Amino acid sequence: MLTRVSVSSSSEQGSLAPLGIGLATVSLAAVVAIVAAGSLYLTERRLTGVAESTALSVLMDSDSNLGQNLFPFARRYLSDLPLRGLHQVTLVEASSPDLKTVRIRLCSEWRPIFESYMFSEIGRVCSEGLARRGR
Amino acid sequence: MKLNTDISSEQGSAIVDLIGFGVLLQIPILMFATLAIQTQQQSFAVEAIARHGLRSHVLWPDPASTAQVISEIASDFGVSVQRLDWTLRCRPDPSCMEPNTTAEIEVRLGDLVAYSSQRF
Repeated sequence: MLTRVSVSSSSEQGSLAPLGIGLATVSLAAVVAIVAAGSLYLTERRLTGVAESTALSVLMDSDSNLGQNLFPFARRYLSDLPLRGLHQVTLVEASSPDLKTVRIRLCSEWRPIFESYMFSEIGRVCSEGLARRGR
Repeated sequence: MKLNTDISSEQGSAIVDLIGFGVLLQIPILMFATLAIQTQQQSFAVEAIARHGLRSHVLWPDPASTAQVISEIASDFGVSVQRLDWTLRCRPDPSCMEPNTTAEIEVRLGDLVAYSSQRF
């Protein structure tokens, strides 16, 4: 019942089973893709939260002297922070383009829920946070 | 409706195949999808509660006010506050009142956990 598939494009003969299996596979793939997209979004949100809090901390630690190298401040804060739910967070940018705003850019590995079964590649997610000095 | 019992034959009713696949394959997939999306919706809720709950505490360091905000966000997401468990920790000042304090919140909903931390 499950094995014979018609190879002629004009023929109507053949089993419905491949059609059903194909439909089930597409449905399952769609569900996995939706779940993976949600996981990617969550990772990005977590990274944004960490970047924002790092930017605020750098702004406080630098004593408003934003012309100096801001990397050490950001690294020190990140080393104290329990980065739960994130893997291999790297600090890409700690700068102040206008000497009033601190820009922190972080990247992290994204591990999909079904990584060991479905994905061999692990993605990389980046996000940035800004903090601006008041008057 | 006559069912064909010969397994090698291609003759038979398409309705039987359709119902068979519908029940045997599509319904479990639908159940799995519903469960996965529900879990994901709760994950989003827990993340949002942690993020906004901590922000509200940083802006107004009062545990009662923070609890109120957390319960409002939970109800916005359709999450029962009774199922929600959250802990706020501050260092070096445990009272969360001194400047240069790092506040950390941990929100739990069943097996789902979200963290957020901020210095103020």
